[in-house]
Amino acid sequence: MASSRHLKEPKESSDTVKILLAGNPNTGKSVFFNRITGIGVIVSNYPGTTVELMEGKTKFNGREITVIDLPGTYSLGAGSMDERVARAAILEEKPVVVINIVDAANLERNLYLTLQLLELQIPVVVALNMVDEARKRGIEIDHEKLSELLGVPVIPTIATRGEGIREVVDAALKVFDGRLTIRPMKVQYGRDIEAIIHELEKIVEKRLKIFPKNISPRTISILLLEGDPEIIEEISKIDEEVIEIAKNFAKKIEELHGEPASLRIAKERYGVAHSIAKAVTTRYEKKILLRDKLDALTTNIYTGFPIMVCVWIGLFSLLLYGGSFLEELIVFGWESYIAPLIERGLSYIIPNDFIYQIVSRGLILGLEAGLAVVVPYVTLFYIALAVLEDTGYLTRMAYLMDNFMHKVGLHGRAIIPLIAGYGCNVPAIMGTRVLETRRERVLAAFLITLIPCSARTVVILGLIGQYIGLLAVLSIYALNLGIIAFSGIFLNRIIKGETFGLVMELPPYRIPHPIPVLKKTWIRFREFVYIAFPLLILGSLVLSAFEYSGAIQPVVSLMSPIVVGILGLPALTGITLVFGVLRKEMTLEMLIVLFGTTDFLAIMNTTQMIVFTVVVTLYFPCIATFAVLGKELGWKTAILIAISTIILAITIGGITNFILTRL
Amino acid sequence: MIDKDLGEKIEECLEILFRLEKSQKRVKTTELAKKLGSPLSSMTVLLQRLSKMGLVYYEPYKGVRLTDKGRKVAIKIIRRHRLSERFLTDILGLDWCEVHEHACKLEHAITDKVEEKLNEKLGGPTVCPHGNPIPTPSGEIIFEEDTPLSELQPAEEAIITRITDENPALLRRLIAIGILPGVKITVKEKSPLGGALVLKIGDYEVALGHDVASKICAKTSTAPHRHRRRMRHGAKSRK
Repeated sequence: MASSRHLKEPKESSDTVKILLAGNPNTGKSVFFNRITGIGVIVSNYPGTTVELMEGKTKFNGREITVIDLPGTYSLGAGSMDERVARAAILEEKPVVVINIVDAANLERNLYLTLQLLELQIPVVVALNMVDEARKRGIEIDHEKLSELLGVPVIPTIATRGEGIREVVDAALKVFDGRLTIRPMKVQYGRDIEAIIHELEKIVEKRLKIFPKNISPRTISILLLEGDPEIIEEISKIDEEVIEIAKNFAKKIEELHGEPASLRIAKERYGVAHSIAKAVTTRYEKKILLRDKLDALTTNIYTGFPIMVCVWIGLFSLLLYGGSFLEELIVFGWESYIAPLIERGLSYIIPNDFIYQIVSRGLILGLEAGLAVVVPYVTLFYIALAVLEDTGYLTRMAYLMDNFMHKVGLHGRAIIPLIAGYGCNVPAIMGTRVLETRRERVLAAFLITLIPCSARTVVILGLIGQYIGLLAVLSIYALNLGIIAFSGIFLNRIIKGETFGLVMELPPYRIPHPIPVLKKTWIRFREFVYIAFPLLILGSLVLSAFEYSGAIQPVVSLMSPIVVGILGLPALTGITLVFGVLRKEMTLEMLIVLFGTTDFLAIMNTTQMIVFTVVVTLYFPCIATFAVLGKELGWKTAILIAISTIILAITIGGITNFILTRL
Repeated sequence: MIDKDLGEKIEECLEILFRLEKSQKRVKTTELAKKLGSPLSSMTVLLQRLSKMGLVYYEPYKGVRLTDKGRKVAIKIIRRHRLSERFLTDILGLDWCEVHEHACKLEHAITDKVEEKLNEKLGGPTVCPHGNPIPTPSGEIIFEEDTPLSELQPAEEAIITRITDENPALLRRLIAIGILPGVKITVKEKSPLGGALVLKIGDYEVALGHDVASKICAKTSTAPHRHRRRMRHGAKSRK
């Protein structure tokens, strides 16, 4: 796998130093990264994955340093995409130094990753982070002894205050230059396992002339015994028989210990981590901190749910009120200042009036759609999400909601993107990245497209709320929730694939650091702009071309069997549905334009209004959502989801029409 | 008399039977053979022999069960095994994760006299380094069966015994996050709706869904470990 990123810089040039940051989640890694790199950051997806790598450059003592922040993982291996990427990046970016950020309060578990890094024979410098927090919890770590045992530099740090960062980078540079030699410890397993590793190692060494990614024969042997899928794949390309031999050895371990070799090896590695941690840790009496009490309140069932509901209400209010306030501000500014400027500019460039109309309308509407809906809601949502994420609260919410989410084939973590869907589907679908398996992502994404986003809320309130009443509005929402639940239960049955239960660390509550929050927001937002904006504009251009060229009439007649026949709506509303693809609330605006009235009762009766709203809420996710679906899950899945939602909308709309007209 | 190797095999067999009987009434011969690491054919011979000695009820094709006499022998061996483990960690300073195999060898060489002295020297321990109870000399065993984590209640402490799921990705995930056999956990919170758990492991917390929790078995340490208990109570004055 080659990424264009490191082709730019030949590996031979050692004047640019490459430092990778590796560590468990919640160890303050991103704060550490920001402390080193400052503002300018490049985000790239690791080739062929949705895993993001952050890359920043900095100068240290006149040296150019490239720092890459790997995804936070508990181990290295092929367990999850994040782990796969972390390991691949470490092995490919050679020559490199890894700064392993270790949580001083959770040394034992953190050392597991450290030991795996050492096994890969990568030069490692350990940053023993959050020593202040550990101290508060009555834990003192003897870093010198730890350094002695691991055979690599260990430097205590407090990343949030910038303490120890310089020293760590300095040590990393020294290691990189070879000014500081390290003698990484050899991770020693039990005697019988060592014997098997040794035997396999000899075979690996003899039979394989080339070792994938320069991993030592010993480590290859260990990985083979652990059944690491990636290594097995690599090796089987060279010599299939080695895999068979390794399998037999693994079986031998299983027979000896009564448990799978992978578990046994991991257990022993943990044993090593345990004894190291034990040897360097001194414990004092543990104080109970305020955040521990807060923690107990937010996970307890009696207090946790009310708190969660409050947080939800807060989030929704922020999205609805804050978002719509920003939207109005932006729309006003756009329509009164910028749009006229663009129109005037375009009229100079394009002499043909017909083309001018198409382009100006398409461009202006498309840009407005992006600016007015997406910018305020997405930005606000992402800031709120990043804040909640960095405090650690989201994990508690996921825990509380786990049971409900199971009913629809998901687990607790999926609740966050689902809620986000009420603001805007686009960031919500991106948020499904937190889910482990593809099955869960597809399921969650499908459900998200059914959730009435702020644009659809405009239609529901503007039509049903205005002309029928609040009770009808609530019934529409209830119906929608029912459809979502039903779809979830149904999809849970038919979508095949792995399901991963909830296994999630609940990090201690922390006060979020503003810079990582803003950076996270900016990065996600920018990514969104690249996908959704161009499509919004393109979509608008196409639609306005349709409108002006008169090509819309065939579409109307094409759609009328469904629109009139099944749904019982006026034929012209078909056009509004076509426009709704661009932006759902445009269905309302188009009604006004097409029928030339703002009195919707003159166009539709109440039954038709309800059917119309139901259809608008469910059918084809808007074009931006569709684009994100395609990008995140592949176009095939995106098209499948889109078609399913259209069928669902027609079915539910048809049933609603059938029932209501006969009441 | 039975030769030395066979004696060891018998003891080992009884011990394994005892452990397996926790989770099933009748143990399958194939499973026993797998655990013992011996071929099925010799397993049958061994079981017939044990049956004749009155140590097990053995019905071919149906399975094996310990007799009371067999159970007594098994408990005695388990006592010696766990005392050996304690000896290895407490006196020889070996690490808890490596003592099991050594103890498997040691346990068969311990005589009544040595057992008594060992117990004395160790100060009469009640649990092995992994947290399992050590049977009393009279064969009493304060033994909680291993139960799925999903059945534990808040504030209960337990030691993870096994993970019954075989999905390697899940297994890796659990191991990486520090949930593996031998690890001590405390149930911090349990959701009455659906039974998701918050576990405290060392100094951090992990949330587990009900489905995952039901695939992890643990042994509650009801063995009175008074000192630790009291400390925990002090720390739990939040409620």
